[in-house]
Amino acid sequence: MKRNLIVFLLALAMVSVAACGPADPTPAPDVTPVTPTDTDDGPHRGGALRIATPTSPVSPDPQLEQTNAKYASAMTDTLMLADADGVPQPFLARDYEVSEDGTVYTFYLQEGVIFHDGEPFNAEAAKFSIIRFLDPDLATRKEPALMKIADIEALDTYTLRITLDAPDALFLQAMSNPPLGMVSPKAVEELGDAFEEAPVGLGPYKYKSFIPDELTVLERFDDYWQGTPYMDEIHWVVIPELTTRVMELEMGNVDVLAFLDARNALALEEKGFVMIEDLRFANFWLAMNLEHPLLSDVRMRRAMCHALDRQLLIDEVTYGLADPGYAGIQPASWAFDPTVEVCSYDPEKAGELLDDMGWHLADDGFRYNDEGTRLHFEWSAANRPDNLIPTEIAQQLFRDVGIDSSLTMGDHIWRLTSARTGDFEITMWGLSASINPVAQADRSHSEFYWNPNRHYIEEIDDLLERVALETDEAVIKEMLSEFQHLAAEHLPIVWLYHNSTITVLNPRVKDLFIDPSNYFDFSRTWLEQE
Amino acid sequence: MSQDTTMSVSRSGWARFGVQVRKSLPAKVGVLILFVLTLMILLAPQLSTHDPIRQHLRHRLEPPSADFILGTDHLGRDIFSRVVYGSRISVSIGAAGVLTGMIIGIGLGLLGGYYGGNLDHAILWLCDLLLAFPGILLAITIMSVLGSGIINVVIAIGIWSVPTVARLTRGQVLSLKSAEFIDSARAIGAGDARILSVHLLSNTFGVLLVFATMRIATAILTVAALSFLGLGIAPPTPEWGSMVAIGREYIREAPHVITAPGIAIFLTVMACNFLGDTLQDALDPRMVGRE
Amino acid sequence: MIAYVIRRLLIASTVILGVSVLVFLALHLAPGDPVDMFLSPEVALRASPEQIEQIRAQWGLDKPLHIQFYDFIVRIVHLDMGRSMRTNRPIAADLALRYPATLELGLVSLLLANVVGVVVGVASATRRNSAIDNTVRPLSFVGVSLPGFWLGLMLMLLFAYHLAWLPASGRGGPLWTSAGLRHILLPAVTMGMGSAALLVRLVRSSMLSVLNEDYVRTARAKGLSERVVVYRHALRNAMIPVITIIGLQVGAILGGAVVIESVFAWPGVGRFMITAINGRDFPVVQASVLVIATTFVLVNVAVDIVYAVVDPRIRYS
Repeated sequence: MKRNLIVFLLALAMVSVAACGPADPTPAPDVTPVTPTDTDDGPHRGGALRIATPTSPVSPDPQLEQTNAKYASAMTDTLMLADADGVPQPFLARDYEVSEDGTVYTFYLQEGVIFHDGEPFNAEAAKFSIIRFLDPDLATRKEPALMKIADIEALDTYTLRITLDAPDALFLQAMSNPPLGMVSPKAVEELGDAFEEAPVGLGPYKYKSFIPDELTVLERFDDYWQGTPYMDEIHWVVIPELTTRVMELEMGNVDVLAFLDARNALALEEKGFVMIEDLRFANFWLAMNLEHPLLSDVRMRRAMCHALDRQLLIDEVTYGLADPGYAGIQPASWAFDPTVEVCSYDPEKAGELLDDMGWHLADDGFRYNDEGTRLHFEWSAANRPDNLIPTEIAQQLFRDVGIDSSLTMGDHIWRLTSARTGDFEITMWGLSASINPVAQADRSHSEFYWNPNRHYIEEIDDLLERVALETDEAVIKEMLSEFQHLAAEHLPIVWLYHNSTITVLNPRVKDLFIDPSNYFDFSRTWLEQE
Repeated sequence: MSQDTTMSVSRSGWARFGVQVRKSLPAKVGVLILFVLTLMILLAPQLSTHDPIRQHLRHRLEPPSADFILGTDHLGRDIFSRVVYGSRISVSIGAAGVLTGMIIGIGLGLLGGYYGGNLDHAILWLCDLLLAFPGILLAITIMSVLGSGIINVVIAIGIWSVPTVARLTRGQVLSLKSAEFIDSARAIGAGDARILSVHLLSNTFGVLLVFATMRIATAILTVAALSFLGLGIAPPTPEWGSMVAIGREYIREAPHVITAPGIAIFLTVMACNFLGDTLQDALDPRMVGRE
Repeated sequence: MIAYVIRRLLIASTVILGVSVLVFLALHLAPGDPVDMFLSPEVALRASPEQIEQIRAQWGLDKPLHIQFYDFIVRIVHLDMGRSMRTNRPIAADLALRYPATLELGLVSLLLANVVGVVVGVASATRRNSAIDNTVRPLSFVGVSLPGFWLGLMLMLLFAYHLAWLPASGRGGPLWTSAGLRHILLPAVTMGMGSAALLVRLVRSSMLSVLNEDYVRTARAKGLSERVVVYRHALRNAMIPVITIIGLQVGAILGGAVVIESVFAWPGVGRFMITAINGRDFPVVQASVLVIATTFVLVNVAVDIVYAVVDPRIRYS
């Protein structure tokens, strides 16, 4: 409204040549001197940790966190917490019980925990936080399991009961995702919409400032329930250009690079930086529009699958830091079935299948049908190297078996829209995954997102809906094995590889823990002094 | 009579240009670069040593060697062959884009300048509108609508050149309109179309040639900037701008990837500027290159 | 004169209105639907058409195009830039953070370009065909023949990475602090390089022609020292064409900001706009283009007015 413009004009006048507080330029001034009690090899207090990311969070509100900047785990905590293997363990809930039918969860909460604004954490606050997270108007990342919540009750001050419509193997997993962290009910009620710009949680670091696309600053929360954290501040700096980010790390102006590509990460590791690779669970796959007349034939999809050399893609794109894709479950997962046979790299077999369908090689190296039409597909590629490079390699691999393909390039949102509307032929998608195999398998459900592969295979959908109701691990494993066989048979998706998310640290950063879902645990992190 | 006047104007202009080229070292260098470039464009298949889009993944990011004269890029493609073939793409995008802009711009400029009145006002306003997007902003806006691709880049460069050409043409037409030879042409019964096309255009030609030469240079740089923003030409097409934009990721460990196409852009742009400058001196020593 | 200024401003405002229409249409024609940013697979593992409709309604995207445009104009007239679709923050407040950053970078690079351009141009003209002149002339072409992002990365590689003289990225603080100055130097030099090169050539050639004018010869004949002749008489007149290209320079700088701000992580309007274009954040794109185009158009009007005042030969009709 009017006020906005007045603010704008005022700021313009005041800051005609810059007065607003931008990034601290010098490498992390250590505000707190090293206390005498600190020993030389133990954790030191003080310092600011600087993390560089390519894109900005849209808001500092931990519940609104998206996957491109992981700050929620610094600002707040969840009832459950994933351990090093990704298994949810009690956290803010010191203990929990599940009813026999798997629909009623009772959480016993930690006592004596306070929010950044001094408000006490209790069952009412937990109930409030979860209800806020589930608000359809709030753009939070709502796992399907959370949609089954029927009722939330505060039984007493520190006991919370959540009732589900139906059992769900993924419920505790969903409860451990950092965005479903606790927020101060008082702050939310008092601030209203403004809470999104000045959030109050109960994590080791509290909100200090936020400038979108530039800088997010959190400062130490002295009364953190797990003990006072070591560092004074954490800065998330947005540096869009990859080369600039890497140079800043090498020069010591930045301590952590998140979401780094394998090539740069390996080069930095050689220079003495610390590379942390989370589990190889992320998904990279070839999406073929099954509504396309040629691609609806499973033989064509199989031919494409045989034409693609997964190991080559892994070596060239991820520099070996990935596992090959099979039938939708990562080789690193406990539910992976090694007996499933998926079309391996076999250009000759691809040729046979294509011949079978009436596409014959001509002198120009491409395949034509009897009517003289050339076999041709259109790639929809993202205008980013991590998508362009594998697409270009696949283009050449297709060409080697006589499939002609051209490449249209566009930005992320254009690709999202074409996935929703089905306006594409072939394209490659990369997406982070869940460590839980049931959630991972759900990526193959026709209702996942907008069905980016345009497949409707009833058998698979049925199976996936049934497995979501199971909680017994042995049963789940068996059902997922059946799923993998079905997926290999129908081949709605060609899974190319499962890569890891890579973080590179300056060795002066100590005790920064990164869980398998790439969430950072800053609660014990400290910085070595110069 | 009038024919003679126009001819002599341009004849003396060309003569002066020839003198200038012989006199100035930059101009000579410019002519030499353009000559080499022309050879490259014409003889690309003969000059190149590899298929410019064939990947040799086992040889990626290799420095220059006997087999790959200028080394290989991140997918093991031969950079020399890509630069050679890239001359065809990059130069033709620049030239076709500017030509498109010239045709539309000259049309609008002639109409506005010759007929004046509301038509002139409307055309001027349209030019002001397009010129209100500073620098490459207009190209970015157009590319966001059209999407990446060669034809779309040509259209973007074209639209982006229209207002400047239209204004230049209009200005020239206005200053020539009252000239004697136009009156005499009208007196001997020449129609509007003939006066516009023959007399005005031939006199405006020099100025526009200077503009076109320099604008091709800017266009090549603009395509590079669009590629930087992911709005340029999709791979594997060997286009210099996108080669430089992609090569920037390897600027430290494999600087040869960005250097070769970068130098190609640099030399071509410089040659265009050298020649544009020399042409300008020859044709109209007082003209200031105002955009 | 006042009538002329008013007329120019009136035309300028219709031009800016036209720019708004054009950008509005461009955004709605561009492939990629903004609602998909809200429902990307990173946020919405299951998405429903109802959600799409709800988001459309929330941002008024379900209304006919002309109504949406009317709403946009009404908001602008009420001095309300609206909120970002991506961050839900008031756009005016975000622009107030970024516009000064771009302005600062632009002014510093303009200053650098003009100082270098005039000093080197005069030196080159007064010592025609000397070693200086022969070095400067080809160099002035080099400056306009390089892709900006390449130049920026090379400067960063050299002065920040290898020599460690200057910081590589970010905005260091107010300009009067040493951190602020050190941070702005590399992006400002990158941005101003093209303008400096153009100015050197322009100042040189206009100096040369002025030095041959009658009044300069007269001044010389009167026995005035060469320094006085050059600086008091020749330079003043040689500056007239230089003023005319300030508008052009501002355009090059505002356009270059889009690229240079990304390379150096400079938190300005150019980067703000590109992020918004990539996210189809319609209100932000509209607001940023409006601000950039208004700046540019107003600078050009101002230049024309200054020019009309300085050079009495111009008739302002």
